[in-house]
Amino acid sequence: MNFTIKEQGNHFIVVAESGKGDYEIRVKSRNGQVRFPMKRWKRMLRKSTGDKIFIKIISQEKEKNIEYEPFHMFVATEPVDPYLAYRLIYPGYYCWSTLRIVQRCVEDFSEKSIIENQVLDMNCINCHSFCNNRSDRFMVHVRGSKGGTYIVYDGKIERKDLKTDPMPGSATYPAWHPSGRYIAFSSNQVRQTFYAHYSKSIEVFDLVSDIIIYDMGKNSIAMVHDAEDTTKYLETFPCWSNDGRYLYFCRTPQNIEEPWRDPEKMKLLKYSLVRISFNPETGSHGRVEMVYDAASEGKSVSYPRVSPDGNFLVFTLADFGTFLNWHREADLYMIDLQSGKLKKLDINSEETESWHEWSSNGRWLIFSSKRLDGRSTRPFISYFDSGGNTGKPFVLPQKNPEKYFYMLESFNLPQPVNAKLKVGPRDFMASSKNESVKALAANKADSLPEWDKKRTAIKRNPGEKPIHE
Amino acid sequence: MQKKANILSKLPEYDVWLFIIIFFISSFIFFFSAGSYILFFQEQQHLFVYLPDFYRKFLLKPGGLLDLAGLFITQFYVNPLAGSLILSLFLSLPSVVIYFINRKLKDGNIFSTVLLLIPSVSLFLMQSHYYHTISYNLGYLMVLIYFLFASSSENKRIHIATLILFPLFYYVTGAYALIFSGLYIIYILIYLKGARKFFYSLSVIALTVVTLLLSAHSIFILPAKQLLTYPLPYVNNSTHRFLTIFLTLYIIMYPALILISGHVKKMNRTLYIFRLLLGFMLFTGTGFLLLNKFNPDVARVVNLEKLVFEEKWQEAVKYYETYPARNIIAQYFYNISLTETNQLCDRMFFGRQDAGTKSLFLPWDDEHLNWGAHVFYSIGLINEAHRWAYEELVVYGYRPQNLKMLIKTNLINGNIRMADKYINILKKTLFYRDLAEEYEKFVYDTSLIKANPDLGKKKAIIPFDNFFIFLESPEDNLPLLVEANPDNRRAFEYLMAWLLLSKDVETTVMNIPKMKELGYTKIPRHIEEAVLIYYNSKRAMPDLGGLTVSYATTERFSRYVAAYSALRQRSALSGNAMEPEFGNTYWFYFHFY
Repeated sequence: MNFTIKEQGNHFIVVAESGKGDYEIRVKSRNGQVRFPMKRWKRMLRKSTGDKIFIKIISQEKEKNIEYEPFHMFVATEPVDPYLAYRLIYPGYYCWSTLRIVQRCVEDFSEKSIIENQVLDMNCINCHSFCNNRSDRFMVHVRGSKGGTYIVYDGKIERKDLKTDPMPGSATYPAWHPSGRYIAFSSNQVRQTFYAHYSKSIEVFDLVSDIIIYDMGKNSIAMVHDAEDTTKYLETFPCWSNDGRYLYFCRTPQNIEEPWRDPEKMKLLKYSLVRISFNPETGSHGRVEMVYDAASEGKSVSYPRVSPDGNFLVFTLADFGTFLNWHREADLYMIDLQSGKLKKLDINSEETESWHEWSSNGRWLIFSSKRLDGRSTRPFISYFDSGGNTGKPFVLPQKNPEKYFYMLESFNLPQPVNAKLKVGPRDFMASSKNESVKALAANKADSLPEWDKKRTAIKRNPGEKPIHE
Repeated sequence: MQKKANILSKLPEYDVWLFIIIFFISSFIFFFSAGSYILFFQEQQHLFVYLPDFYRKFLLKPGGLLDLAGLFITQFYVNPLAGSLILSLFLSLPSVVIYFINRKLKDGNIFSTVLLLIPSVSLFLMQSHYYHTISYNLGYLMVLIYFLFASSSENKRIHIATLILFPLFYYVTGAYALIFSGLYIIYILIYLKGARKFFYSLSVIALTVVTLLLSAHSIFILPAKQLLTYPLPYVNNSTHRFLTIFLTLYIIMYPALILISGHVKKMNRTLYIFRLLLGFMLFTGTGFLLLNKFNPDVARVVNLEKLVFEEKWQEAVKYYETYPARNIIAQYFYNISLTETNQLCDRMFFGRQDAGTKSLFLPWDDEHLNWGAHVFYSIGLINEAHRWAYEELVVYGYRPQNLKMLIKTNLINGNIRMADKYINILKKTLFYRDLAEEYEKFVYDTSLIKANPDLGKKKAIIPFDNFFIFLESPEDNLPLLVEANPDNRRAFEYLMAWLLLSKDVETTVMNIPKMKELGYTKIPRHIEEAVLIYYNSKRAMPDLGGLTVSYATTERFSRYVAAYSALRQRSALSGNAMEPEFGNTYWFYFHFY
């Protein structure tokens, strides 16, 4: 738990003391950087589990010593998953250079690459997902010459081509079924457009999007349509319930003509939260039911995530849009799935909160926040008790506590993982040399609806490049 | 006779040093004068940031340290005197090292001076291309230094030490180590005797292969191609490619060349003079090649870029008008400089505009990514300037100009914490710390932003209303910018410049009634000229919204019409005859471009 003291001073003494007062670490700092020795800090954590650690800071000057009011932190009894996997990326627009998905051990500061685009022809790597936080079940999309969806299942990598004719785009945002057999995706044609006004920079939106379910056993993809509903929708960001019996996703009626031409029209894109029932045995699904009608409240939902105990669902809420990572007003909200009550989480800030995930035991919420500088997402960790209350969030600690002052890359999609991943960049490089296995359409009668065809053919300008594809 | 013989035995060393000194001085003069643009260009390509995360990526690949050392040295190019001295030193050092290598291999002969100068001369010619970085010179120099060590003695221990240190040498210099392997094998095969030559040469081959395999499979996460080629020179230029191959083969074969030339051992005064002549011929040939390959347009563009980077707008205007270039980027910088000095539509045809509208906005591609932000910054589309600068940073890493642009755009947009972050990074450099501290004042007191002549001006013209930016047709943003902030005269003039360069006179004059609302009290000169073209064609004056065309322009137009009519009577379609008097008018552009 290294940190930096921003107060003026030439010589600081920091004293960390266990709640019972039976253990103490004393650290000196001349530049305000406070780095606790790793072994001693771990010992402090062991001694303070379920208790507090008090931190006292003394600034020593020539004339006098200033002793700041001590602060404290609680040490939870339930651990967070030992690893955090995230993509390191410049929060840019069209261009990218080196991209890495790395695993960071949260019990120390070690960081190791899982996959790097340097060995994949500098292709774009995106949207990674783990099954139940398991380190041996993982998937990631690669776009470009080595393209495909690389699925790690029980430690083995397979390169798949998850695009079938009825899909409007490629497989995009994933959600792995708890059983490990299915992966739900939204199939999106994602575009971005740029604002002229200083208050906003970019809007990422879908030309088209539908929900699909990939059956790993059959290597087939089924479109998820409510046959009795004739409204055209944009559907995105799927998420399974903890028992795998419901699939949640966000959707909005597609009735706004060319929203990318006018910021006022774009504001009308408001997604609500819905779900369908799902039978994991047969792979069949029921009808769509509304969970939270955010649109009627003038808001828009994105990125639902159900807690491992199935009691809570946390999502991102903003004024409009779907890719809320670029919305300053985006905050995390929670629905109590037992009572249906909606609650704004008290871990939000003035800046964007998004990309949240649950720890395996459901006692921790890991989320991205731009609160440090307004642009770069940083992983924050917050305790979450069984009653749905959150603890004070803290940023992922770094060995060099000043790292975030200079770091421009964002931590994209931080996901807790229960163990160290055994696959690495060389394994993906080897797998990229294999031909990708093409998935089949589960229902041959499925076809891309006419309106989807029209919209997928739209090019707002000749050189437009899609993203996530 | 004895005395004469002594002088001759000493002379070979004198002439070597003489030539090296002449080479150093010539190189210094070139890079300090006509070639100084190369220093600025390269200094602007990278920024050496004293942060662990900056070093990290270089430490994770073989050859990264060499690249890092190159960047460290390049930062001193910010001072042309220091830069020229450093560059000339590193270009001359290969000759010095080879001189000592020669002493180990063979005594001087009539070719030895020329042979030892050839690597330096080749590198000098390669360096005259602005994309040839000092890390390339360092790479070849490292190969020679390591070879000097390896060939310093025939003692077994030196050879074993060379082999043991080879993996480290590969880590430091990357693919240059492969050049060393080739050079060392040639040396072993020629200069070692008996079974040793086969043992050592096979050992070098085996060690090189094992080093590469271990690097690829266990140590570095890099593709094989990169392990085999990084950081060897790659410049997209045929002469440079030829010189790279030539120099590489030359260095590998150097022991053989010395051996062959060593057969001419006789040395008398005539041969000595011949040896001197060879040296001078080499320099003359180099000078000829340099002149032949020197592209003044490139130098002009970079010199202009320097003035733009330093925000010396008036000097940039003057420079371009004195040294016009047939180059889109130069014309682009000229138009930006005119915009920044509020004289675009009054003066744009005083400089060459043969690129037409292409010189107003640069296309979105790798070639133009590093310059494209300037125009959007000048016309107040700050978000787009930020986007270009940010994309440049993502693709090319830290550069002085992208960090400066990111600081300014964030300050203007009120993203003070991000501006502060970029300032913190800029503060971690050797030569831009002062600039960073200047910008830091705005972080501490944001009210100073409005008072700053540059930032305040931009803040005043940013759009108040929102719209989505047109990326592929940036000119379509211009009317929206004017609509979103009626004080944005720069966007208006840029729009008018676009119409003028498109030769769309009708739309140009249709926009004139808006000018009074925008605060104009007189019509800019080139727009007046467009009005008279319209008048000449329609035989009616357009609505000028209460403004008038000046007498001077009308009178100039009469003279132009007379001269143009005379030209047509002579059936001469070339405008050469009219250019001295009317080359700076829109009429001339309209008729002859």
